[in-house]
Formats: sequence, C-alpha cells, structure tokens
Amino acid sequence: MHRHQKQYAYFPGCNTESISSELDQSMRAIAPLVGIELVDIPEFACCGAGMVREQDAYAEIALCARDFALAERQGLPILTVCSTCQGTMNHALHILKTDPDALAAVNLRMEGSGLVLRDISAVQVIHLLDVLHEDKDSLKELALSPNPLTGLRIAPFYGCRLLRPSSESPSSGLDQTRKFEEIIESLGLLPVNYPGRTKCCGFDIAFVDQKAARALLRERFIEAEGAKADILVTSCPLCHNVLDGMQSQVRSFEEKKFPVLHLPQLIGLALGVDERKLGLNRHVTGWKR
Amino acid sequence: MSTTITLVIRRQKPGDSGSFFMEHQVEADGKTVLDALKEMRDTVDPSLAFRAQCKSGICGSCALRVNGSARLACSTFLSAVQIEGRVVLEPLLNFAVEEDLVVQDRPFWKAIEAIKPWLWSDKGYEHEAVVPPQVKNGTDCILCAACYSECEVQAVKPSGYTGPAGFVQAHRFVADKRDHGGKERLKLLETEGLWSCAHSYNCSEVCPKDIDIGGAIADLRSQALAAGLGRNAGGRHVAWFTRGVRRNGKMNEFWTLAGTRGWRIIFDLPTGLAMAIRGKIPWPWGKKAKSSREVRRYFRSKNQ
Ligand code: SF4
Ligand code: FES
Repeated sequence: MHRHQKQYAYFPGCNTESISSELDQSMRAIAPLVGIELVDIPEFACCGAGMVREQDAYAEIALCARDFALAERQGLPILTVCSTCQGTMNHALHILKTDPDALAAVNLRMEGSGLVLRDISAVQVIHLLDVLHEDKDSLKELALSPNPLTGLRIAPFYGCRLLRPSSESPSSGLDQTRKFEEIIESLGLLPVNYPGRTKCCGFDIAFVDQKAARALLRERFIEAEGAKADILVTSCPLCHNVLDGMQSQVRSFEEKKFPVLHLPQLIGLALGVDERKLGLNRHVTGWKR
Repeated sequence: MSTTITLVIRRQKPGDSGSFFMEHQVEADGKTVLDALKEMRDTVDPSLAFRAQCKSGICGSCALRVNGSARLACSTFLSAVQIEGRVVLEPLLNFAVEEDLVVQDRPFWKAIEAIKPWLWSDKGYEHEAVVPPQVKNGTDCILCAACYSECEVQAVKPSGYTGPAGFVQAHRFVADKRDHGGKERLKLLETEGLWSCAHSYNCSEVCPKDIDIGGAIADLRSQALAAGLGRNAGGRHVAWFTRGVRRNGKMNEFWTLAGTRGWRIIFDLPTGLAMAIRGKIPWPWGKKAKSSREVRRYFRSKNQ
C-alpha cells in the first residue's frame, strides 16, 4: 500500500467498461499500490469521444459538462485511463473555459437535472499517465527487481489523443513524449525509442476505411520491430483494441507478434501483482514470459 | 554570449533516389531557419536548394520539416527549436523530392483542386453578404502544405483524399452564404475522403496559422449528416455511436459496429471470434449510465 492515497473521480470510459474490461480490472488492482483511491460515479455518461460532436457538437460539450458537474459535486478531479476520453473532455473544457456563452447554455440545460458547473477553472481531467509521472520516484521504490518484464525491450505507444491538439491538453507546453519512457525507467525497465510511438493506430477508421486503417496499423508494427521491441504498452484502450485485436490482420503468420499491455498492466507486472488480477488472459496476442 | 548550433540538412540531388546529410555549425542568435539556409547557400554551398519568397509567413512557400515536424522556415527561430544543439532540416513528407529541401508539390494542388475551391454561384453579387467567422479559416490558410506533410491518412491514401488543406478550403465555401454548392459540395467532399480522417490532429498541431483543421473536418461531417448525406460506413459510424449514447448514456459497441458495417460484418467474424474467445464480446444490450434518461435532453431535439 502506498503511503498517501489521493481520491479521484474515476472515469473508465465506455470501451474500458466493455471490450477492454481488463484495463478496468488492472486499474483497480494497481490503484491502492500507487496511491490512487478510485471513486466510482455511476451517473457518468460517455464523453462523446469526438464522434457525438460530428452529429451534434453541442451535445458532446453538454455530455462532458454533465460529467464535470458530477465530479465537481464530489470535489474531485477526474481520472481517466483512456487517451480519447482525456482528449475529448479537455477539448470540451477548453471550450467551456473560453466561451462563457457555451458555459451558460450547458448550465441552463443541466438545471432540470439539479446539476450545475460552479467553477469551471477548478475542473481537472487527468490521464493516469500524468498521475503516475508526477509520482514516478515512488514507482522506483515500489517496483520489484527482477520482475516479469525485466530485460524486455518495452515500446511505449502514446498514439494521438494524449498528445494532440497540444493546445487543449492540460499539460500543454510540456514535453509529454518523455513521460512514458520515464515511468518505464522508474520501474527499472528498458524503454525503446521509435518514430511510431506518437503516431496513429487507425482505430477511428478501422471500420470506415479499412484499407487505410490497416496500412496505418501495419506501419506501427514495422516501426516497433525496427526498434527491436519485445512488447508494446499503450495509454489508450482504443489503440489497444486494434494493436492487440487486429494485429493478426496486418501481420503475416511468420511475422513477429507483439503482446500489447495497458499502462496499469505494465505497472502491475512490475509491482508484482498476480497476472490473473491484471486480466492478461483477455488479450488476443498472448503474453507469456 | 552567442549560441552555436549544428544544422543538419538532408540533401538529395535531382533524379537521385538516395539522400545524405550535411552538417554545419551556425550562430543561432536571432536567426530563423531561413536565415541560416541563406547563409549556408551564400557561404558554404551555392547549390543548396530550398524555396522561400516573402520571409513573412505569408506566401507559404518555405515549409519544411524541422526536427521532425513541418514548419515555416521564415517564421521559426533556431534557438526555439534546437534539441541538444541540433536542428535537423528535411523536405516535407508525402511528396517526391525535387532537390534537397524542394518537393514536387503538384499532388498537393491537385488534391485541393479536386474539391473545386472557388465560389459556386451563377448569380452576380448585387447585395452585400455577411459571411460567418468560419470563412476566416479558409482565408487564413496560406497553402503551405505543412498539414499535408504531417497527415498520416494522406500517407496511406495517395488518391481520393483531398487532405487537411482541402477540407479547410471546402469548409470556407460551405460556410459562405454566397456559395450555392450546398449538398453538392458536401457530396463531392465525400468522394474526396471526408469520412477517412482518423482524428490524429497532426494537421492542427503543425498549422502555422493555428487553423482548427480538426474542428473544420468535424463541422463538415456534421453538415453532411444534417444534409442527409453520410450514407456510408463513416456516416453510419457516427450516427450509431451517437444513438447509443443518447439512449443509454454510453456508447453501445455492438450496435455501433453492426450499424457501421452492415452485412459486411461477416468479414469481421474471424477477428470477432478471436476476441470473443478471450472474453471480449460486445453485448447487444450494452451498458447504461445511472439516470441515463436525463442525458437525452442534452441532444438537439431533431435527433430524438
Ligand atoms: S491549413 Fe494550415 S498547415 Fe495546411 S496549408 Fe493551410 S496554413 Fe498550411
Ligand atoms: S517565405 Fe513566405 S511563408 Fe515563409
């Protein structure tokens, strides 16, 4: 158990609650170890994921505002484990902070539900990667040596929404693209650098323009292989869906397959959490050591 | 004290397929990338090829890649972009190289021409017309192709994709009240890849004019849906996703997937099965947020 526990309004996101439930499982398994107390808010709705915006831009901002108001009522910052939820909510936050008319309009909508956003400047949406990075020194003390990942070349996969658009990110101006590596190093493990780590996995068009999506996904593995990576780790369940689930569509039988971990699974393995508690058995591309 | 940095330039001779790097030390203080390139050409190698005109961030001709990201040479200070004392200059991506930092830019112009970026109107302009602020996006664009260079979909979709700058131009005309393109314009955009953008935001990130390109594409998509278009996988994806959220407060993976793919879902069965074996099954009934009925009120009434 970590020395200090900090409370967060836990926002798993729709994908984490269904297809990628092992992400939720592993997050809950590591939380107390890394000083996070997850507070569940069953009223939390979808953030809109940048999809609702394309049908009804106002609805997406209102959905996020409702989630902000629910967290504000408890006086808690929102913690997400999904890069897309993080990006979508910080986009809405950016609009609500810069456009007083939008804020007034959503507050009017929420009146009927007894919700109100009182202090938009106090709303915080933080991704797990940022929380862990803040406290990376304590990871050094907590990590086991050796652990099941010792000696492996670990390729962090940031993807898009954690990084871009950087003007809307809460840590705007900081070099986000060192955080993953620094966390891996704090665990006493070996990160590999490769150009694909900040590129697109193709998820958003995986069912829309399959040819383009597969070409993007295929590139990511070629780059990881070029860097002699053994294993990938991602901060986004949507990236995980394609990196893990669709890997066999873009890699031939003879080509190397990469196990893909969720960020909390990486932490869990390094901290000695039982593999079964991390849901590793739910991955299509198997993990064995 | 003056700062010296190492300029690393990717060189390629016309007709050659291979490239090589040339390194040179320059004083960085107060200098832009373009200043350094001119100095190199004047004092080190007169054959160094690059493009530039206005030196003021207006003509859009000087875009190149600086330490791995597209920028305007004339508006980028060496001191602001150096990493550990190095500045690596390379030609834009997604183009064939003509020579050194000069690319063959014809595909960029062709991709933009494909969306017919001019006012479609057979009437004269007898009346003053107030144009909405979105028009500013298109008029701010200096056609520098930085976005085209960084767009990952562009890289894997060399035809049938107008690209970020094309969408920005289209958005400008769709928003312009004098334009009579309406639905026809949006239909044309659908054939030019409107639904293939993967939301990577590389374009918005590099645009030297800070144009919200991702926002423009999202707006074009919602206008296409409002006009009754989007009768394709892209439009269905958005519509089914949104339907689930409105109904239960959460997106429903099963219906989003089934609605998007239609009968083609049979092609996804092998992947679906491999995931199902591992317990990754999107159930048709999906999840529900507590007090999700209330969420419906957040949507425009015509979607209800
Ligand atoms: S949208 Fe921005 S990056 Fe793209 S061509 Fe126009 S000015 Fe350049
Ligand atoms: S020289 Fe004209 S934009 Fe740089």
